[in-house]
Amino acid sequence: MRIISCRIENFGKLHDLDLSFSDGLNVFCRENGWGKSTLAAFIKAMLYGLDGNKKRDLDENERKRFSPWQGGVFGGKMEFEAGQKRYTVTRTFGDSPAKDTFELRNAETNLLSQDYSERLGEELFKLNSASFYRSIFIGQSDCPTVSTDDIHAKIGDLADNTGDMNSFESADERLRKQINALSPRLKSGSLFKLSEEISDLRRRVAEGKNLRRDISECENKIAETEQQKLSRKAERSDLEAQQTQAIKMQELLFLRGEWDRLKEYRENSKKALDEAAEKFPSGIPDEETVKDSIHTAVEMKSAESLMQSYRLSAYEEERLAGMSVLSDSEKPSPEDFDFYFRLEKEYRAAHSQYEKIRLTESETDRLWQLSEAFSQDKTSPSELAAIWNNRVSTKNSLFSKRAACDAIESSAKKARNAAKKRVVVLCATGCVLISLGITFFFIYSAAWFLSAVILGGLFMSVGIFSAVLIMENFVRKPPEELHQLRREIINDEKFIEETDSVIENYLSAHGMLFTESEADQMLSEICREKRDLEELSQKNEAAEKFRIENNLHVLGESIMAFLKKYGTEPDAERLSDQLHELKEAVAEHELLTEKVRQFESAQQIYHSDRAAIRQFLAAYGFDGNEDVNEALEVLRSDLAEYDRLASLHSAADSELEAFKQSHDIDTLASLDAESIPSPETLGEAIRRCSDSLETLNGSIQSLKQTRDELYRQLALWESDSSALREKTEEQAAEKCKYDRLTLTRVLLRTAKEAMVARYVEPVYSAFRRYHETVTGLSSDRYRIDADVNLTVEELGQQRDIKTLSAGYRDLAGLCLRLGLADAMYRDEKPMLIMDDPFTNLDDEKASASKKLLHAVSQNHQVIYFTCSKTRQ
Amino acid sequence: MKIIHCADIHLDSAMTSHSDPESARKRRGEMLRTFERMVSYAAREGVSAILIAGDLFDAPNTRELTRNTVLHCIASNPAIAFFYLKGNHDDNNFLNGLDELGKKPCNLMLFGRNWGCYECGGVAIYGAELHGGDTAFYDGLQPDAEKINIVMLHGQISENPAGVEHGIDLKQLRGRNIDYLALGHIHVPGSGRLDDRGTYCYPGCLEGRGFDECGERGFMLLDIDEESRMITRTFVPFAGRKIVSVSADITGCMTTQEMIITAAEALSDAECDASSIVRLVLTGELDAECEKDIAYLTAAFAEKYDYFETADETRLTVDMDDYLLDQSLKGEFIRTVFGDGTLSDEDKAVIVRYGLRALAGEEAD
Repeated sequence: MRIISCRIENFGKLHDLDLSFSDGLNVFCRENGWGKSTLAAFIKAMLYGLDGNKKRDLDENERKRFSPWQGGVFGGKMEFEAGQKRYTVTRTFGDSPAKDTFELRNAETNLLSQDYSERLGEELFKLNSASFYRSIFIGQSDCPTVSTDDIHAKIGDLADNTGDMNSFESADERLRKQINALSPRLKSGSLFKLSEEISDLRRRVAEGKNLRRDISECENKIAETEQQKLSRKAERSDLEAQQTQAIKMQELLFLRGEWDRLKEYRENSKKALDEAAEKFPSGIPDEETVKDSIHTAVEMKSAESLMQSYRLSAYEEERLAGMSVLSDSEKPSPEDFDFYFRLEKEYRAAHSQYEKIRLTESETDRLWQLSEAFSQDKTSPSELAAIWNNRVSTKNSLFSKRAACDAIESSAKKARNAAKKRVVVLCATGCVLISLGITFFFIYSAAWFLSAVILGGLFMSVGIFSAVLIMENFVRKPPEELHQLRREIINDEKFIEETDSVIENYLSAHGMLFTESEADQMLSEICREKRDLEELSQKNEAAEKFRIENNLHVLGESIMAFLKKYGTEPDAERLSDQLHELKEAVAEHELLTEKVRQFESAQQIYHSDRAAIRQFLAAYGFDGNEDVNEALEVLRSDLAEYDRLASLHSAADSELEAFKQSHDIDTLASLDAESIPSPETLGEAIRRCSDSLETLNGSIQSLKQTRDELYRQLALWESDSSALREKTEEQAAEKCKYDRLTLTRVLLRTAKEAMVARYVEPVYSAFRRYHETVTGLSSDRYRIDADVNLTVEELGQQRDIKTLSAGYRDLAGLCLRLGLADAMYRDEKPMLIMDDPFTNLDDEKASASKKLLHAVSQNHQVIYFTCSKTRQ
Repeated sequence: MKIIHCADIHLDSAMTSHSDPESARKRRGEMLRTFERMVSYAAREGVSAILIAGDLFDAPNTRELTRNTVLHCIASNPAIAFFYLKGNHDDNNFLNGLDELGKKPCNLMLFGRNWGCYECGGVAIYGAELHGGDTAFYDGLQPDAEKINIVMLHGQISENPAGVEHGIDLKQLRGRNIDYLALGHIHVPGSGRLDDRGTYCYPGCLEGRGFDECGERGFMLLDIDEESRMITRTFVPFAGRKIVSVSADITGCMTTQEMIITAAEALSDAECDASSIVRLVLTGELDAECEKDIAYLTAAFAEKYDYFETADETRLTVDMDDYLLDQSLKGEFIRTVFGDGTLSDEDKAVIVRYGLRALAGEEAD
């Protein structure tokens, strides 16, 4: 591959620059700052584009570094030859790679070519840009090189085959990462972590190995405690049975005490009863007899009390004496009073209603006056008012009728005048036509005469006929409507005159003076008075009718007669009060009479009872002259006490007998209180047993909790054991994988080195050839390893060429690069770009380097930049 | 007369070998419910007795729930006689204090270290915990020849039990008028002839607990005609879940998708459903350069079953002829690996796969 020419539009400081390149050596000797390095970078940019787009450092970011100083199109084109073809590549660069353009044309046909893509450098040289810089581009002070995968691949001529050599470093890196991820030594390695987990699991599994035994022991303890619990329960049951028996014996003891108490109680009751009987020397009276006597005494007491109550006072005796009229005659009954009260109520209500509806005195006077005023009337004022209203409306319509009459006459007059005008015109036209006919007769001919005469005659006839019609219509036959109106006006005037006369007479009869303007008001006033008269008459009639219908007069007289009969002088205004007073007097009389009767009855009973009681007391040895009530009370009290004691004695007897029937008296008598155990003591023992059971239950509960916890731990332990097995297996698997991966990495590297070793030899041969050409010395002490690293033997050891002086180092590095280029490209040789690489060489070596350049340029196109003519 | 013969129920088994703790707890519950279902089945079918030939429980530490549930099952079915012979896994934990506390159901029959016998209808049921297994032990067993005799034992039958753990000497049991030897200890159902008169039978476990207990699991239902003295034996599959191990030969598959298709075919042929516990065993030979993602493949089937796991037992193969003249790094690498005489063939295949995957930009699987 060789470059033929290039055109730089703008690239760094270079612009509008055209350069041509020949085969072999092309030397560009320019002063510092001309742009030699920029030109070299331009050639690289044409092949690879710009690098370091994301770098901030200006030296690393080529887009920023070579952006045109003066602006304009950033880029250019380059013509080159490859594979026996010539091409022109054009690239422009924008702000970002996305704005870059690339175009490749066949330089001979100028047609677009698809032979290479944007990755032109890679496709031409099988090198990436980094490898390009480290092989066929030799910069200032950059002679030593470091081989890359691309270089290795190219040297081995493998790049076109499988590409796997290019993958070695990434494969090696991937294996390294996987090995590290598994590593047992790195903390991040899974084997390391697994080892830690397994140690932890082993510790936990070892700690839990006795769990099953612990659980068994716990279960045994639970069983033992359950057994103890059973024993304790049995013991408690026994104690409870003893306690039940003791309680029964205690109950029997209690019953024996009860028996003794009943016997004592019976004896005491007998003694009390005998003492009570001694209070009755003549025998114990019958209870019923005593009760009867007490009842009689009560009755006597009651009669005495009644006598006190019904005895009349002096005032009452006087009052009773004053009511002799009621005593002599038949007294009015309550029904009589009800009747007369009802009668009085009706009378009062009707009288009150009558007072409301009857005419007042002023109304009576007004009724008399109005009756006098209208006594002579033949026509009612309302009819006259209607006639007057008719007269007023008739007079009002009279004006309009007169106006209508005038209007009709005026219209007829106008029509007549118009008709007259038409007649005159027609007659005049006829006369003119006739005159013209006569004239034409003399001028033209008879025909003209006849025509004019006929036409004139016709006009005149029409005019005359019209005049006749007008006369007929307006003179002989005036309009019927007008005629009618005139008749109505005459009639209306007559009606008004007659009405005025009638009204004037009527008003005069009522003392009023007729005027047309006030007639209406006067008639209204008379009508109102007429209505007042009618209303007052009706009211008066209604009151009178009410009075008659309700018999007001009869009612009053009946009540008064009743009052007079029982000694009361009636007062019409106080009828009700008088009735009430009479009723009260009758009631008082009855009351006093009843009291007298009651007193007499009670007095009789009192004397009878007193005699009977005295007789009873005397029969049982009591003094009948004492206070009979007090004596009877003592007797009753003693008898009651005797009965109570007798009852108690009987009950005690029955109770004792019943107890004897229901209990074994002999057993009760044989009881030995000392031999019966105390239920309380037994209860205490039972409580102790219960407490013990409680404790045992607690122990069982606690043991069960412990057992459950142990089971939980056992589950965890089993899980840990299982996990330990799994982790151990996993560890073994991962260890195996780790070992195999480690071995894989070693063997892959071994393969790679073995492979590289095979192609290092051509590089070494070329290196030796170039190095001996430059130095004229043997190159035996130089060696190249499998990684294409150059070493030099010094003092019996292979050393890095960095130990050499700068000049020798650059020279050796340059020779190695040239050797690499020869080895890498065996067929079509690429151009070599050298950017003043010999700056470190002394004059002797610089001279030798010129020879080297010439030698190289035999096989390569060499583009050599320098700023020194000595190195030119 | 119907009798159920079951054994090796292993209630409260830890179940941790293939399950996380939560799944193990769930599975323990399922096993207990299967026992309850079996008792309900017995009650429904008019079964007179249930023979539990050992290992009712898995470990000495039996949870209270389990003990109470078993006790309730027995006590609430007084019409069924439960004959319980302890196995090597059983302990006294369940029986401790039952008698003393008055909790032992009257229909629970137990056996000790010496031969015990119960009459159940016209059937005599014998049993003894195995210990030593010398002649004297077997001589203690003297069933009446006129009766139908069932003998319960828990152990491994053998013609020569010396050195066999929990060994049962079949020779000693022959000619002892045994009609049915109800055995426990072996988890796979199996049976055989004991002598001219009787047969022996292992019902297997009631529920499988791991992939070493795949296949149908349940109990034996004996239908005994007391007149003819005929015993008809039927295996009743009863496990709540089926444990299935399915092999899929994925030889030649180059991608995970191809492997999934092959595995799906193998799973569709297997008798498993959504409630099954399934292990897919991948077998065959795979090219070292194949693309294989076991986690992805497992996820493709995981939701179809109650539990699903994949065991990768495939072998990697590398055809050296393909790389003999390969001048690439890959060729050089493979030649280097296979030239290393210290490596086993399996290591070589795996290392080649790791290397090739690394060169292809993939992680090692």
